[in-house]
Amino acid sequence: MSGQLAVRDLHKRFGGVQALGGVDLLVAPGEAVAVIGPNGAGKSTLLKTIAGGHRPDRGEVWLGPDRLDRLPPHRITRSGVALAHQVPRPFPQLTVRDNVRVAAMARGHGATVEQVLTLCELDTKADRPAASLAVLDLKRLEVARALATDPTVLMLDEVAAGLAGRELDEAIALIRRIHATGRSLLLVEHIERVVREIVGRVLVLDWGKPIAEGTPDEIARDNRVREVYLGDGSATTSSRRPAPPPASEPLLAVHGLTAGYGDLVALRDVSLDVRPGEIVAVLGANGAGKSTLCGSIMGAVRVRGGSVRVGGTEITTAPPYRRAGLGMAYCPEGRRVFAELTVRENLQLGAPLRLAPQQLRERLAEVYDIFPVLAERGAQLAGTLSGGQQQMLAVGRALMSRPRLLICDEISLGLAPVAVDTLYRALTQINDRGVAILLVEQNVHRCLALADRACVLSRGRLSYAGPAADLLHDDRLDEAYFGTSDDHETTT
Amino acid sequence: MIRRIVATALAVTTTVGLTACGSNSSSEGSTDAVVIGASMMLSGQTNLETIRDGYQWAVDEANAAGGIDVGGAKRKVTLKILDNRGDTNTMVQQVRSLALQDKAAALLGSCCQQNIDMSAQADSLKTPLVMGALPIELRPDGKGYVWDSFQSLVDGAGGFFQVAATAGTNKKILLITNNDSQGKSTADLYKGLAGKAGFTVAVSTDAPAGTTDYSDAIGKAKAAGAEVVIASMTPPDCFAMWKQMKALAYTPKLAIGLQCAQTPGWASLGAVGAGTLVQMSWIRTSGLPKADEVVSKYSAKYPNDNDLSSVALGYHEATILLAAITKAGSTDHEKVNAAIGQTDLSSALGKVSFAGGKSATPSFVGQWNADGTITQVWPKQGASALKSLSGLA
Amino acid sequence: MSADVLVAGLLSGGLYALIGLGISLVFGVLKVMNLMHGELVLGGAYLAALLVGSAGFDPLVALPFAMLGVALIAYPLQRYLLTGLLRANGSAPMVATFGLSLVAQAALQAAFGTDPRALSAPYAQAGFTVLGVRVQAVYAISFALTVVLCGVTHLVLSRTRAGSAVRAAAADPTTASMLGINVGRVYALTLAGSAALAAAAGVMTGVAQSFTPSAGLPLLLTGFAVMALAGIGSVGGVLLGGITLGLLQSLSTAYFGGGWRNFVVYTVFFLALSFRPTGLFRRVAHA
Repeated sequence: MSGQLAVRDLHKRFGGVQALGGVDLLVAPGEAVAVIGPNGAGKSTLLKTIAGGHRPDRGEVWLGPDRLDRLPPHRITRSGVALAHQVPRPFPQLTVRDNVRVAAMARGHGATVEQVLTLCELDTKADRPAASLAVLDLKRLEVARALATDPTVLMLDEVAAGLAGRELDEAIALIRRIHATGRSLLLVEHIERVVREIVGRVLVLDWGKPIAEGTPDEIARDNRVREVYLGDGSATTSSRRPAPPPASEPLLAVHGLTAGYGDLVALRDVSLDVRPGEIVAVLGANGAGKSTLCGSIMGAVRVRGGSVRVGGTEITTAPPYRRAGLGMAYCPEGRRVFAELTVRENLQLGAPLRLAPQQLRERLAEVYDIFPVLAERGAQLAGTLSGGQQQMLAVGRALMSRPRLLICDEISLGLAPVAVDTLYRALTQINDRGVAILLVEQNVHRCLALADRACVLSRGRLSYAGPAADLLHDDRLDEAYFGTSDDHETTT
Repeated sequence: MIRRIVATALAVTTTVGLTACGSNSSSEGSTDAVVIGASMMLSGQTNLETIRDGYQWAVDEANAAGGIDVGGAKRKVTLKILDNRGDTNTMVQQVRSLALQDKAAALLGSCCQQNIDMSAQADSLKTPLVMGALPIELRPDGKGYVWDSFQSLVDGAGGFFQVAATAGTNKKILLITNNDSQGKSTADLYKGLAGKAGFTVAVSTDAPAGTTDYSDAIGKAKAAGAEVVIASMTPPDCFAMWKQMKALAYTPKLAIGLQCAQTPGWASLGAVGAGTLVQMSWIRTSGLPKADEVVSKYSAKYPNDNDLSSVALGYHEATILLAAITKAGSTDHEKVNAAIGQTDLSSALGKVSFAGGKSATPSFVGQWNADGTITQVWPKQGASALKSLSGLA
Repeated sequence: MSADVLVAGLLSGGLYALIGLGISLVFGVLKVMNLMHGELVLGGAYLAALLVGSAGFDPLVALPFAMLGVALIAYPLQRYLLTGLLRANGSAPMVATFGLSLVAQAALQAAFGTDPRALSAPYAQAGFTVLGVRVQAVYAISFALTVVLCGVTHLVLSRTRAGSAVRAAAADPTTASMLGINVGRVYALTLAGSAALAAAAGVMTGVAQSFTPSAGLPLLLTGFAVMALAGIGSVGGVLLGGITLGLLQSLSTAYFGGGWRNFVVYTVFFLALSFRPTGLFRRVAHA
């Protein structure tokens, strides 16, 4: 297990976007290096290009004496470079062991399957189908599959994304154990703890170009990096306003809601309401039922019990397209902008089809006022925007219906801090115009700094509902996030 | 595929039903009705209700006279007709059930693409089958249970060249046929007779069924100066070709449309189809027996001579069969079969006497008029003079 | 090989493109192979035949009525039958369209009989000469009609808000519905639009050639061939795909004779599918 990974002057363009503009990188045998940068910096593209998923326009990739950049992906894997993806996609019907075995076959003399399973702490779950795994184990399996090819260099693309608390500790421990086996690591990571605790050296990319390189401490002190990556640092400044009068009629009233998929009950007896002008946070760990709650409110998930009322109208079983006309707009998790449509077309879709052109222009102007970057990119295809810009577009699109209530599902997920800052500032602005916001988030501190009230979902049930400020010191938050890792209960 | 499965399922259901109620049929020495069976295409791509009407007409006529004489006893005739919807498997099932369960004394045939398969069934069941439109030449291995009284292609081709000789053309031919076996044998037949009649085949080409663009063939014919068109194609194809000839300013003086111009739908071409020659086995001016009756009884339902000729064909076939049963004095398959072989009568399509299973009925050559009617142009008796192919000029 | 042959192939390609446009539209938006597309084409031809026969309309006057009529039949089929199946599982809507094609074929046979028919019009058999090339008027007209209908379809999809709603529903129906777009209606309108295009192709086929109730399958295959050559979701590609098919047929007939026409066409078709499975004329996708 030896050989230095050398990346020289790597270029890659997608259409009009320069994803990589001359990246040089050396990873010595046994070294751990992290690549960080704001969203859209080219981090994932770098890993995929090394792994052969994209063919570089220019530049070279070497592992020891072997040149890799001309080889097909499976030959690159055999040469000793493996990639674990951000979103695990195992074969769901196969057992954990078989998933790993399949990967091991990709390289003739792969590591033994049992060793890998033990190393990744999957040995006790080896006979379960991959589909039955919870989030942390899915991530472990993704790493195990990469590891089964016995790589010299293991590349991890945000494998810790979406993990928190104890799960994060476990993930970090796993990566350390792997590093201890002598393999080189190349990480793309947003979570600062992962970077700080594992790697000795960090490469910072911005717009496809390296802007800094050094130890985590050096990088943390680098002003240029702070600027592009961390924003101006005032993100968590609270903008608390007086809470709106509690007497007003709720805009959204969810009562005793129970919903799920097949056997799975993802949400049980949840009640909450949002009054005009207020910001309500919904918090909870992965799988706590946050997205199911949004889906039930918007009509994408079938409700089994309870009711949803918007502005006094019962909509529990109304089709989704009718709900949008009731003064409620939804900004879905994962942004879901229409990549093949222009930014402007995306925005226009948020407004009712029958809206007069004059009013349409007014609403566009309002959105452009909040997100000036969308005005600049109006004619560009939405798919060419960076992640943060796409999220702005998704929020802007929701605003086009001029809602009284904006529901945001995980708008900070996977975004660089500077993009999250911009979005949260925009949310404040939107709220200042009188729009109530239901903010579904994992990002506890930012979210609570903004919200008037908060709810915590824990394994499908409401475990806290009250003032946002009080929650920071409440045990129930810890419990919801760091409690047992069984995400779902099933019924028969 | 699904269609075939459904069809088979229906056929099986039918068979079961027939088995249940088929036991009261009888054969020899009985006074029960004589059963005659037919499996026909009555729905699907082709609808032969004209032929069915002809069968029914002959049977109704016999029953109105108290039935047919079988060995000294008058017996009614039951005509059992099943719709095979153009599906060969269904047809085979139906023919077998008609012969075995219904104890049909004999079978009447259908038409067209099913004929060869149906005649093989009749031979293997040793059940006489009288049918039209079987190119019996294509089944030299027949066992003698199949009788075809349709017109002969050779007669029609001969008539066509006689007519063509009077038309004042340069005797250069564009010959175009489908590229299947029937198209090829038709091409060979016409090529052979053309030489004898003093014509030259200037362009000979073929096209798969479903062709809609003939500009290549038309271009070659124009270049070669061919003034006579002989086209043998499945019906829809030559609609496009005739329109294209006109649009591309190709103006042959004479054109015969074998198969394709024989469909009543040709009338919808109006002037473009006018002047086209067709070979027919019946035409209202033919002077054939019962021709007036065919017109008076059926021209309200079928205004077109093509359809009326099918009614006449049905009547003709059924008459041959009923006469043979009387002659045999029995419903026994062998005796009926032998009697058919000795047929000597005249019916709606003319005189019948079989040799080698075939008795060619007379052929006529008709010419389409712009109003959708057809005028007889050959043989001369009672016929109008040949007009030029006015529609294409 | 003469210029006549090239021009004839080019112009007949317009008609093929018109048949392919509707099927490609439905596949692009609904992700469903509409196996009754051929019957929709025939529906247009038979409706026009009724109008030509009863009201004495010229086929081109009957054309908009035939388009509207077939669209009105298609709309409720999608709205109240096929969209429901779309939610059930992958192949149900395709199987349903196959069933509907059989029903439609039987209905046409019952109503109109099995004899071939044609729509007669003065331009059906007219022709003119341009630069020494003999051109069939009806194919010139249908080519122009195809270009216009392709243009209108393209503009509606790319320049109107309703068009962007269609594209949004195609890309992500769940998100589109949450934005207030009635996806069920968008689907039904898409099929209705596709049916109108099919009907237009049917009228022109009826004028230029002929039709029978059982002619749906070859029409459907023509549509598939055009779509495979064109790739999904590109209106311009459909036009080029149709022209390619028309030229291929003409050239192969001229070079190899009519008997080899299908062999040549299907071989090219197969090669195109093998080497450019996304279609010859598909734009390079944005990464």
